[in-house]
Amino acid sequence: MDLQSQIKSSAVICETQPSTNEAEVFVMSAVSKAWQKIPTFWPLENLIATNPLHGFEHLPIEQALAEGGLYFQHTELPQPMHEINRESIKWCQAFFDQGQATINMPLRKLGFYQAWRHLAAFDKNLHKNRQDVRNLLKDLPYSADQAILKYIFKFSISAEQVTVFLSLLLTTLPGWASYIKYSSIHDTNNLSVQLLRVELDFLAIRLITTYLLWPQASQLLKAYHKNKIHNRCLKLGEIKQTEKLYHPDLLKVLEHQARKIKCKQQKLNLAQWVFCIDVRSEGMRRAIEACGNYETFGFAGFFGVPIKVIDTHNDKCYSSCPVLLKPKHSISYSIGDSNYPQGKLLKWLISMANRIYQSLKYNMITPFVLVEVLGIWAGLTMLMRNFTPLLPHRLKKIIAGCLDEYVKSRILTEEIGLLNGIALSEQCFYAESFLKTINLVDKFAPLVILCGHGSSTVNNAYGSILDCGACGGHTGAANAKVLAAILNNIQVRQQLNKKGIVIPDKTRFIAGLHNTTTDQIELSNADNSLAIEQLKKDLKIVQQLSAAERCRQFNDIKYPSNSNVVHLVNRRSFDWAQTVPEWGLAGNAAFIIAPRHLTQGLNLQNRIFLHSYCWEKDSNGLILESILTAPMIIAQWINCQYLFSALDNCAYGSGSKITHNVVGKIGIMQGNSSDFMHGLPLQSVFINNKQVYHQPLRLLTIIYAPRSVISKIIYCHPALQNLFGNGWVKLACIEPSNTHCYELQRDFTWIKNNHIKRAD
Amino acid sequence: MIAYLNGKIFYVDTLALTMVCLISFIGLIVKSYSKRYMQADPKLKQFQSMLALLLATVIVLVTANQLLVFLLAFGSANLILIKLIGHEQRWQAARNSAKLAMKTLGLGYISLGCAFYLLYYHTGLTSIQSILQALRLENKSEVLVLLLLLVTAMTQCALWPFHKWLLSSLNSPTPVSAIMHAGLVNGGGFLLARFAPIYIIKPKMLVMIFIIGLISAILGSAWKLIQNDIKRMLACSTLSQMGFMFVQYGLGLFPFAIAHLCGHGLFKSFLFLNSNSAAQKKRSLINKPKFITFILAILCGIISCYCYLYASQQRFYYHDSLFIMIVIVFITACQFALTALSQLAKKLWFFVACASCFVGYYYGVSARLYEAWFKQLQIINRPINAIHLLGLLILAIAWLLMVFREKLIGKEPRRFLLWLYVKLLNASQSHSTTVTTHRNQYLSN
Repeated sequence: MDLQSQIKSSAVICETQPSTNEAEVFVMSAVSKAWQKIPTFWPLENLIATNPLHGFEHLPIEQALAEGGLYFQHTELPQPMHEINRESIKWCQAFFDQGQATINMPLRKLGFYQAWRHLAAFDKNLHKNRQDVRNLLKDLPYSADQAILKYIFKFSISAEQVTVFLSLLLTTLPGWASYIKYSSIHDTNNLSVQLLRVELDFLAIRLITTYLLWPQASQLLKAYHKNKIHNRCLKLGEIKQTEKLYHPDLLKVLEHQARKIKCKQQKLNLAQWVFCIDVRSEGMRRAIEACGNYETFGFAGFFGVPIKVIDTHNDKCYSSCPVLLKPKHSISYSIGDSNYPQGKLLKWLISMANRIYQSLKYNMITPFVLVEVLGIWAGLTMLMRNFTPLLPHRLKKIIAGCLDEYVKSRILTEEIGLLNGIALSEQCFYAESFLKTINLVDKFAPLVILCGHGSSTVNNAYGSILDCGACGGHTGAANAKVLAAILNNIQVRQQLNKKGIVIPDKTRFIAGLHNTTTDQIELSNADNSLAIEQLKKDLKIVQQLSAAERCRQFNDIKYPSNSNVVHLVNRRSFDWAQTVPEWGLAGNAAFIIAPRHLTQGLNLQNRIFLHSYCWEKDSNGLILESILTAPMIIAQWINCQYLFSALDNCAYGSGSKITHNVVGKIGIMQGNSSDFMHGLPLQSVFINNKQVYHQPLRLLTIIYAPRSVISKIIYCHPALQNLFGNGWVKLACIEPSNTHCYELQRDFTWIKNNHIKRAD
Repeated sequence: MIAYLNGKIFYVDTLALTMVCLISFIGLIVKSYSKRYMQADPKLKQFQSMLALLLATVIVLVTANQLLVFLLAFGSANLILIKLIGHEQRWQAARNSAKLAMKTLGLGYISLGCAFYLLYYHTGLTSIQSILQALRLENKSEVLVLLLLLVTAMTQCALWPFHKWLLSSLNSPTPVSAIMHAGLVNGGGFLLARFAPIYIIKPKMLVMIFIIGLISAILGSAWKLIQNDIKRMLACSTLSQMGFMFVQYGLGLFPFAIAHLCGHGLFKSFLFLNSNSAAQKKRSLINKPKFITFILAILCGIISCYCYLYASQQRFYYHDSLFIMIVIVFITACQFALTALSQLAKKLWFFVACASCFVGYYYGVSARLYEAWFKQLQIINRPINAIHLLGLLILAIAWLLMVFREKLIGKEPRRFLLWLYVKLLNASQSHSTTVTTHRNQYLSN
C-alpha cells in the first residue's frame, strides 16, 4: 500500500470516528494525560531541583518507581526510534536555542510547529528524496492540534492505547519533553515566541516525524508491554536500607535533646542571625553559635518577600522567589557579576570589549585575524587560571580599584527607593509574618542579620543549582536587603508595635550574604560601629571553622592549619577545572520544623533543613500549614532530585561532567548530541564512578508540635496527603507534652517510635 | 652525541622549536586541568599517562628528521588520540567516535606511508632534510608525493570532505578536545610546513591548497554560525580556521600560517577548557549598523591597515599574494570599527579611529615578529591570479552578507534561505552513530 492510499484509508478511519468533535476531545485529553507524566525541568540559568517522577506523585511510591522504570529507565529502544529521536533532537536544539547560534532558526517567532512546518519540506533526512513524502510535507495541517488529530489515527492503535502511545512518544525523549514543559508553563521571558502551545507543537512534530520514519510505530507499544513484564525499575527496599541506618538514630537523638532542654532562659544575645533553611546553613549556624553569644534562626531564603529583581548591572530580570509563587513587586537593584563586583566605568569597558569581541568572533572572515591577535593572551589566561586560580580574580579587583571605586560587596547598594514598589500595609504583612513564623517577637538583639545565600563558582554550568532554591535558583541577597529595609522602616515598626511586636529602637536589621562555596558572610552595612567590627572579627573565625570542616570533607588536607584552609576553599571556588566546587545540597536527609534548641549543639553534618517554628505561638496551626505547604514541598523536590540522580544517573541524572556539552545556553547534552540531560551530574552525587556521596534516602520531616495540629493540617491538604500517604516523604512528630516521638504511617495513623528499627 | 642525533635522527629548527613549545605548553595545562577535572574518573591515572605519552610522541614527531621516525611518531600520536577520544569505554557513541576517527586518520596515515615510500624510492635517502634538498620533482610520481602528503594534511586538519570525524569527536572528555584542537589537528599544518620547500616549486599545488582551504573556511564559518551547542560550534570553528591556514599556505605565506596555527591552538584550547561557562556567557545585543557608520568604519579600516603596513614594514603591491592578507586585515579592522562606532556616540569617532590604529599597529608588529622568527620559512611572494581574487571576493561578500544580513533577509525569509538553512543544519550534524539518541544508552555498554 503506497502512502497516498494509506492516507486515504486513514482518512476513512477518521471519518468513521463517531464525530470529529468527540474525537478531538478524546485525543486532546489523551495529550494532556501524556504530558502529566513528564516532570518540569528548569534551564541552567535558574536551575532548581525538581522531582523527576513528579508526574507520578499521586501514586504510592512503589508504583511510581515501577512506572518510572517503564517509561524512563528502559534501556532498549526499537531501532527506528533512534533516527526519530535524532531528528527531534536536531529541531529542538535549533528552536529552543537561547543565544548560542548567531544565525537562528528562521521563522522561530511563529512558534515551534509553524516554523518546523515551513522548514521540514526541505529536510532531506525526513523526505529522503521521495516525491510523495515531499508533497505530504508541503501541505501539513495548518495547526498542531489538527496535525495531532490527523496523524494519531494513522498508526492503527486502539483507542485505549492512545494515551500510552502519546506518552511513549514523550518519554522516549524525556529530557527535551521536560524542558518543553518548563517553557510552556514558566518561561515568561520570551513572550515573543509562542510557547503556550509548545507542548502540542512538540507532540505534533514527534507524531509526524514518527509517521514518516516508522509507520509501524505501534510496535512501540509492544516493546512497552514487554518491558512491563521485565521491568528493571528501582526498588524501594534499597532506599529503605539506607534509611534504616539514618532515620532511627536521628529521631533518637532529637527525642533525647527534647527531653534534656525543656525550657532554658537565654542570655541576652549580641546578635541574632536568620539563615535560609538550606542544609548548608546548618554548619554555618553551628559555627556562628560556637563563636559567641549568638542566636540563629531558619527561614525560607526568600524571606517571605516575593519580588522580581531587575538587575541594573547587567540588565537581567528574574523572579527571586519560589517557583510556586508569582512575584508581586519589582525591585531595581545592582548585584553584578557574581564574582566580580564592578564600578560603572569598568562595567562599560567590559561590555564594550565584549561586544567588539563577539562581533569579531561570530562573523565571517574576522575570526581568522582575531585568533592570531588573541592567541597569546588566551595562553596567558589559561596559565593563570590553571596554576593560580585566585590571581585573575585579584587582578580584576586591582584594575577595578584603579579605574573607579571598587564595589566591595555584592549587597552594598543604596537603600533609597528599594521599597518604592511595596505598600506600607504589605510591608507590615511581610514583617509580621516573618517575625511570627520564626517566633522572633521579643528579646531582640541590637543587631539582627538576615542572611541570604549564594554560591561563587567559575566555569560551572550548574552554578545556579548551588544558589538559593527558595529564590528560584538565584542568590538571596536582594530579598534579604528588602526585608531588612522593611524591618528598619520606622512606620513599619510603629504598626508592629500596635500588634504587640515591640522592636527596640536600638535594634538594627542588616542584610547579609552567605557564600556557600567559600563560607564567607558579607554584611551590607559599611559603618564601623563597635558591634559590627566585633561581628566581622567573629565572622573571620567562623569562616575558618567552616573552611576547616569543608577541607576535611573534601580530603584536601589532613591537618589543616588555620591560615591555609580559607585559601584552599577560595581556591576551590575559583578553580575553573573544579567539578565539585562544593557539595551543594548533596546529603540532604531531613527537614526539622522546631525551635533551635531542639537541634542546638548537635553536629548534623549539613544534611538537614532547619526551619524555626514554635508551636506554642501557633495555636490554630496556620504557620505550620504554610511551612508544610511551601518550604517543605521545595525540600521534597530537592530531596527527590538528589535521590533519583544518585539512584540512576543515566535516566534521572545528567551523567559525567567531563563530557558535558552546553546546548543553547539552556541545558546539557552528553557529547556530540543527545537528549537534554535533565537532572544532576554524576559529580554532584558521586565521589567517583562507584562510590556514592549522596546516600539515597527519602526526606524525613520532623515536627516539634502536637500530633492533633499536624493531622488537622494534613486532612485539609490533598497535596500533603499525596506526599505522606504515598510514601514520598516520611513524617515524624515529637510531641511536646511528653517528648515522645511518633511516626506517621501511610494510613495517617501515628505510631509511637520505640527505637525499633522498622522499615516503613 | 646530541649533535649527532640532532643532525641524523632529529632536526631542531625554529619550526620544530615552536611546535615543541606550543605542544608542551598546552600539554602541561591540559594535564594539570584534567587532574582536577577528572578526579571522579576511575581511569584518571591511565588517562594522565596516555596524555604524557601523547606529548612525548608529538615532540618526537615535530623534531624527527628520519622518515621512519616521523612515520612511527605520527602513527602512534594518532593512535593515542583515538584511544583518548574513546576514553569512556562504556559509551557506544564514544566508541563510534573513536572508530570514525580511526577510519579517517587511518586513510591519512596510509597516504603518508605511500608518500614516504615514494620519497625513499626516488631519492634513496631517509633523512627528511636531505630529501628536501635532493628532490627534483621531475616526473609524475614525484608530484604524486605532494598529493599524498596533501591528503594526509587534509585528514589530519579535518578539512572538507574529511571533516566528519572532527565534528563527531565531541564524545571525548573536554581536556581531550582541548589538546586535539590545539595540538593534533595542527599536525597537518606542520606537515605542510615541513615539506614547504618542495611545495613551493610547484605553484599549481599551492593554488590547489588555496582552493581546498577556501572551501573549508567558508563552510566551517557558515556551520559555526548556525550551531546550537558550544562544543560543535567550536569544532566547526576549528574547521574554518584550519581552512584559513591552508589559504595562507596556498598564498605562500608560510610564517603567517604557522603563526595562525599557534594562535588558534592557544585560543581554541582555552575556549574548550572554558566551555562549561557557555551558559552564563550571554550574547550582547549589537546595534544594527547605519550606512554612515559603515562609511566611517571603512575609513577607520583604511587607517588601521596603513598602521599595519607601517608596523609590519610590508610593501603593498596589488599583484602580490600579501595583498590578500592585507585585505583580510582591512575587513577585520572595519568590523572592529563598525561595532565600536555603532555602540558609541558619534562624537567619539576619534577614539575609535585611534583604537583601530592601535589594533592595526599591534597586529603589524606581531606579523613582523613572526617573519623574523621564521626566517627559514620565508614568505614566498606569489603573483596573484584570478583564482586568488575570486576567493578574496567570496570572502568579502560573505562578510558583507553577515553585516547586512538583517536588512537583506527582511521580515519574510525567502524559500531559498529556508532551504539553505536546513541544508547547512543537516550537513553539520555529527555522524549518526555517534549521537546518543536515547539517554539510557549513555554508559549502558
